[in-house]
Amino acid sequence: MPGDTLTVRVRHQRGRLALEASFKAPPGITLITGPSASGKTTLFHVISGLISPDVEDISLGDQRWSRLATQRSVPTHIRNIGFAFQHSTLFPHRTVLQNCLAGQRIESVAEIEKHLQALKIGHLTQAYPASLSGGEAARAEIARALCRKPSLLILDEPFAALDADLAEVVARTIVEFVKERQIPALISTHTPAVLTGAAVQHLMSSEGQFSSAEG
Amino acid sequence: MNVTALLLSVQIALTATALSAVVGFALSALMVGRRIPGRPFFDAVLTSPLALPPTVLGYALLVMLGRHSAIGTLWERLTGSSLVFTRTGAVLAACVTAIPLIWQTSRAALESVDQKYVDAAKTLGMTSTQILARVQLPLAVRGIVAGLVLAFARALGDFGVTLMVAGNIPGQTQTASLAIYDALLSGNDGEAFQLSIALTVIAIILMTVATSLSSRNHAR
Repeated sequence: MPGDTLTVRVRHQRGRLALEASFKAPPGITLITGPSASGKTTLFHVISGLISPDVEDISLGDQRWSRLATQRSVPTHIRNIGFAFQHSTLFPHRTVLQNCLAGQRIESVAEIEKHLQALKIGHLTQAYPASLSGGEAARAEIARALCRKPSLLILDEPFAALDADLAEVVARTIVEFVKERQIPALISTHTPAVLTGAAVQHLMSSEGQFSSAEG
Repeated sequence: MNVTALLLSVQIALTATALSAVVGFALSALMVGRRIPGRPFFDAVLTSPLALPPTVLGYALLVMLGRHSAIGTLWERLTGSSLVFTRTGAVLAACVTAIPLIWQTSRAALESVDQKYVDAAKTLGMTSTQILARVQLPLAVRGIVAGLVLAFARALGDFGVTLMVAGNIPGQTQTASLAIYDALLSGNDGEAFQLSIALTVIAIILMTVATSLSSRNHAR
């Protein structure tokens, strides 16, 4: 449902990390920066439903994802999220093309190829993940998330394995995708410069706490 | 060489492996990734046939499947023949140890699939059944097949349980391992030697296949 705003209010204690986040992410890019192990990945897992937090109130537009008193929270597979994980999760027994088809929402192979070409891996449709370099795998991971036609895009350190030129190409593709689909996108990165000017807001994480970088 | 006994062994072991594969895999698929109360006890009960003496297993099967048992009576009414001291009995005897072997190996293979692939599959919209079929099963298939091969090898070599449940009827329930015993008792050392060599060769081939399957990775 394009145009929806993501509302997040969660609290979760996990080992030494006490995660606490309360923010709204309107359509567009929400940049999240902060030191390693400050809770960014955990927050993404909570939002996508892979982790059940202690307290949650998550909704996208009028779809409420978190559990109500008598109901279970909406399971991950129904949330329609495009999630590119920090470390490659491409299925090793599937080619890049087959990985992109796994999202089940794509209408044609041409659509997938369009994304792959935009990310400069158009020649790798038939390649298996084991044969990809770190940068190629990272871009295939992003492509798979885009092919899902998500209502919410989550990219965990999408530029970590890329050189400056490729990071720029990937950033441009992501910005265009988010603009075209009018969806909220949460992107964590240690190199925010590559998305400067494209983000609608910037959050900073520190020891599990998330706050606006502007304020 | 007593080829009849050898072929019967293979036939019984194949049938038992196929049956056990269905039961063993279903059990492991049901249990993977689920929190089951009392699981250690459930695990112990399922694995116990691998630790119990064949006489205990054979006795238990005779009690459960014998002509006066509920299952035995029902079977006889449905098919007109007894469960024990028949080929069906020999197959069931082989299943007793094949099921826990397949269950254990396929569970270990499924659980060894990295959680990150399961998480990714969830974000891609797959239900738990789809994840099992499209992600966990393909990634665990080598371990599962290795378990099937092990179970087949185990079923092929069964002696005690088969003897107690199916007897030692030449041409009917006399498997290769029982024929070796018979040959030795009747002083036919040549026959015992030939069958022993044949079973040893088959076992080594099967174990080689199982080991190479379980040690291979997904490098393409």
